[in-house]
Parts: sequence; structure tokens; C-alpha cells
Amino acid sequence: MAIRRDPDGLEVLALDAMLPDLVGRRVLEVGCGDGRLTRRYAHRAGSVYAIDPDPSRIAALEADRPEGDVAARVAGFLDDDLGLPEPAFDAIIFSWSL
Amino acid sequence: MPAEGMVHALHRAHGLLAPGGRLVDLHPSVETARVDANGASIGTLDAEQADCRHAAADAALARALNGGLFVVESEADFWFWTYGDTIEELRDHVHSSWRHTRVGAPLIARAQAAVQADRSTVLRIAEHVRITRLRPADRR
Repeated sequence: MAIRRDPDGLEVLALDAMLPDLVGRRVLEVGCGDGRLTRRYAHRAGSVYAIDPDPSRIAALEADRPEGDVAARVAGFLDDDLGLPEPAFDAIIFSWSL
Repeated sequence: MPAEGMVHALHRAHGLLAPGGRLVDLHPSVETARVDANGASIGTLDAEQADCRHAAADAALARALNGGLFVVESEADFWFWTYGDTIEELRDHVHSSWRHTRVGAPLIARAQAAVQADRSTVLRIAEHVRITRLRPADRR
């Protein structure tokens, strides 16, 4: 068997408690990595813009795309041009990135 | 994210939140990640630099709160567990995906001894994570 990360889903349970209503919400996820967390909540959100500075991790996310309206891009949050599709977001998630 | 950029990142997030928007931060606590054998700790990872980074994240959040940028609406802790069939598998995972963290030889030896004594030993890495929901202090 392979590595199993958070098989009990405690991370997304904690996120659900913090953001119980994501329906129709615009979410910016900073440090999405390979989409581990994105896959667990994106289907409930209105849209998700997910960024990570590591191209290999964005490629891994794209290889197993989360359900929902998800756009992913290689970018660091402090980059000058984030290419943001929205001027503002209803939720920003710092996903182990601070 | 470099430590010096963390406060800047919090300011940037503040500027990107719509009215009623919230920032949710997840990051490991300063409690060092450890390896469990059958649910009991057998030692911590070599993660001095990572621990410093987590402390820097705590400090950046504290600055944002003290500076009146955000207020905390809610916070909680949870455990993030990563399971592997062998300590070597967990070691390789850490070395390939975590920056500034290693599974040291003594810890590997303890895990191998635990498995040798009981083939059904369950090995996992345990990380203590803090999750915080923040509201811009100047908005509802």
C-alpha cells in the first residue's frame, strides 16, 4: 500500500467547521500543493482558484483534477501578477503555506 | 513562504477578501512532528528549521492581530496523520515532500525494532495542526 495522508479526513472536517457554507463562494487556496485538500472541498464551492509555486505539484493536481469549478496556476502568493480571475474572494485558505 | 513575507501575505489576503470574506489559515503547530508506533510516540522528526518556520507563522499571525489587521473568529487543533507500511516508506515520503525535515537514523531504528517485535505494528507520522478563521478587523 502507498502512503495514506489523513485517511480519516480530519483536515477537511476542521475546514468544514471553519467554512460551513461554501456554496456559491469564490475561494482562493494559497499553497494548494497536489490538491489533497482541494479535492475534498472544491465540489461544494462556487469556484476555486488554487495556486502553488511548485510546478510539479500543480501538475499532480491537474492529473487528478478536483471536482467542481477549479482553476490552478503555478504562482507564489507574493508574486506581482497572480492572474486572479476575481478582484475579491469570499474565502482565502492558507493551506499549510504561511 | 519566507518568514519575512508572511506579514506581507496577510496584508495581501486582507486586500483580496470581499465584504464578509474570511481567511482560514492552516499550519502545523510548533509541536514537532513525530512518528507513532501503534499510536504511541517513538520519537520526533529532525525538523529544527521547519519548527522555526511554524514559529514564524505564529509570530506573523500575532503581528497581524496586534496590528489590527484581523481578528480571530474561531480556532481549533487537529491531528494530521500520514500512514505508511514501513518506516522506510515514511522516510522517503518525508525526504521527497517536506522541506527541512528528516527522519533520523535513531528513529528509524526504533521503528524497525517495533515492527520486528510485532509485525502488525501500525506506523504513522503525527502532525499537530492549528486552524484559524480570521475576519478583517475593519469589516463584519
